Formats: sequence, C-alpha cells, structure tokens
Amino acid sequence: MVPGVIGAHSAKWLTRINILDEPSWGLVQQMEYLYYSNTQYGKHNTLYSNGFSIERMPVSSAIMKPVDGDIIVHEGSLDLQGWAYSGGENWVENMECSVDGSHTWYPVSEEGLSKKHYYTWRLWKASIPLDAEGWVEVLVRAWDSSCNTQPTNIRSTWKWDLHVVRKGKQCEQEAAC
Amino acid sequence: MENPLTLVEHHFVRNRGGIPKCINPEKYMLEISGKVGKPISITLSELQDPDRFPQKKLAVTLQCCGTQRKEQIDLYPGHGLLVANAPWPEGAIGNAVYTGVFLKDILERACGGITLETTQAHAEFISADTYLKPDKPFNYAVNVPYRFVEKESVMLAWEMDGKVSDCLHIACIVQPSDRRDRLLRSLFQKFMAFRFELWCLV
Repeated sequence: MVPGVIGAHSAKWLTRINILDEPSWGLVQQMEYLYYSNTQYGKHNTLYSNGFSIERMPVSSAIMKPVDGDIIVHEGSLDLQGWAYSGGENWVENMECSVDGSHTWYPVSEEGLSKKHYYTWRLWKASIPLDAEGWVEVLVRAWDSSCNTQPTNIRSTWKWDLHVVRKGKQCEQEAAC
Repeated sequence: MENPLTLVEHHFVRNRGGIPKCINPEKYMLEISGKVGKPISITLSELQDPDRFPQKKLAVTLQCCGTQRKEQIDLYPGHGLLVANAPWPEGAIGNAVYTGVFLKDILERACGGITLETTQAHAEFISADTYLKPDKPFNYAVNVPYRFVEKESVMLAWEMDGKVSDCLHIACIVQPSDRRDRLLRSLFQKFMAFRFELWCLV
C-alpha cells in the first residue's frame, strides 16, 4: 500500500521486495503508467522513453449526483454531491461549482465538505442557485493545499494515452422549473 | 458525505493479470533483498507478530490513474475501445482503512536497514500475478522512490476495512476468494467483448 500515488504502485499478492539503486526494469514500471507531457504527437507515436512514471495524481473531482442526462424539476437551486481528491500529501481545500460555463463559481461551504485527512479524498455536497430552464452544463473544480486547481478544457492536459484526466468535471442535465 | 469510507463491495477493482491461485497464507513467504544489510525471507505470521513490527492503520484513497478516462474515449474513440483498458467513468476511486506494518520498520528491524543513500534508492515490488506485454508473461513489478518508504507511508497490508479473506482489491498479501473473482472477471470480459462488437458495428 503506497498512499498518495496511483493505485498501480500498490502491488497486490506481493512476494518480493528489492531495494535498488535505479528504477525497476519491470515492464509495468517502464512501459505502463507513463505520462507524456509534451512529447507524444498523435495517438500511436508513443516512445516509452519519452514518458515519465505517474506517481502522484493531480487534483481532480467528480459529480456523483445527479448523473449525466438527469431530468430535474427544481425551484431555483440544484443539489450536487461528489468527491474531490489530490495526490501526494495534498488535500482538497475548496470546491467550486458553476452553471454558466465557468464565468461564475459558487464555493462549497466548509460544512459541505467531509473532514480533511492525509492521503484521502473529501466528499462534498452543495446546493447552488440555478435560474435556468432547459439544458444546463454543470462544472465543478477542486483546489488543493498546493493552490492547484483543474483546467476547464479536457484537451489541454492530455497527450493521447488514456491516463490522467484532470479537467473540471462536467455534468449535463435538463432542468425544468 | 456522512461516511467518507467506501464499502469494500463498492471499491473499484483493478488487476493487470490473472489472480494468483498459488498463495497459501500458511506457506506464504515474502523475500526482501537487493541493497539491504541482510536479505530475508519472512512468513505472514512473522509479519503479523506485533512484538516484532508495530501494526498500523492508514486511511488511504486509492485512485486508478485512468479515472474518468471514459471522457477521453467519448471524445476520441478508438484506442480505448480496442484494448481492455478499464473504461472508467468517475468510480475508479475509493477510500478505505488498511491494516498492516510499515516497510520501513521491517527494513530497519529485520534487514539491518538499506545500504544506499535514501535519496538514491528505489523500492521494487514484485507480485505473484502475471502480466502479458505484449504477449509474454511477466510478474507484476513496480517501484517507488525510497522517499515514500522513508516517510513511513509504504505499508504491507493484509486487511481492508477490517476484512481479510475477501480482499480482492487491496494491496494485500493474502489470497482472495476465487469465486467472486471469477465472476467479476467473466463479467468484465463479457462487457469488453460487447463493447468491442459495438465498436465494430460503428
């Protein structure tokens, strides 16, 4: 169990531990769970030596309720629930929600967040003002203890390989008054 | 929000290879070697002896680094559908309390410490499960820089939320239950096959 880093480093059914003077030559270590920050062009041009091993995860968050596509009858406010997490020894400090495409952010109150703890997520819930009828896109983003937050555009932080999604989480819904 | 712990049955499960059937808790031995003062083989009951190593509990959120990759797959389909890459939406994360011993304590008390500068060392973990890349089997092997061990955060855990035997998901050293594992794997394979068929139709 290695807290603060991606699950892949917490090996199950462990039979051997070696202390080494260089990173493991294991294929999972060398060829998987790599992040290609600015060195991969197109889907199939992966060079393992251009990637670096993913250890701590960036700050991320998700809306768990309501789910994408829900139809909600509301009276001017919308109830949201979800999780927020940051890797390493960072914890989540703040959560924010937006219903107007990230122009206005409503903070989640401290009472709306579960307790801070090393190495763990914080669950959150909020009730935010909503004056729209019809299709609404809800965005949330977390801020962590190193002042990091999430980008609004999914494409801005990802280089083809299917690891590490960190944009502000979207949830689309029909809302009717 | 009232309880930030994830129930074991709701925690995500991710395996890279087959589930090892060969681990018997009675016969289990963990080897520790490399740049240590004294290489050792240690049994599970020795690891679990509280007189030898202090037992700890850690609350840890584990996240698969592909959490929410479904959003990428939806935008740029193809790659993610061709391989069984666990098309996670938001659920590949869970929070649990693990019981075990710190690797640092074992290295110091049983192995005479490490023989390298801590800033230059890496801890490699090799598991009993096999892994195919691209079609050759290897054991699962990963490492973390030794500073993680130094900070007393690398734990050899045998319990997740107080449950030992059914711990399919955890970084545990005890054999999981076969039946549930087979069920989950066959469901996953069917799901992936179904997705693949859909993709071929499109």
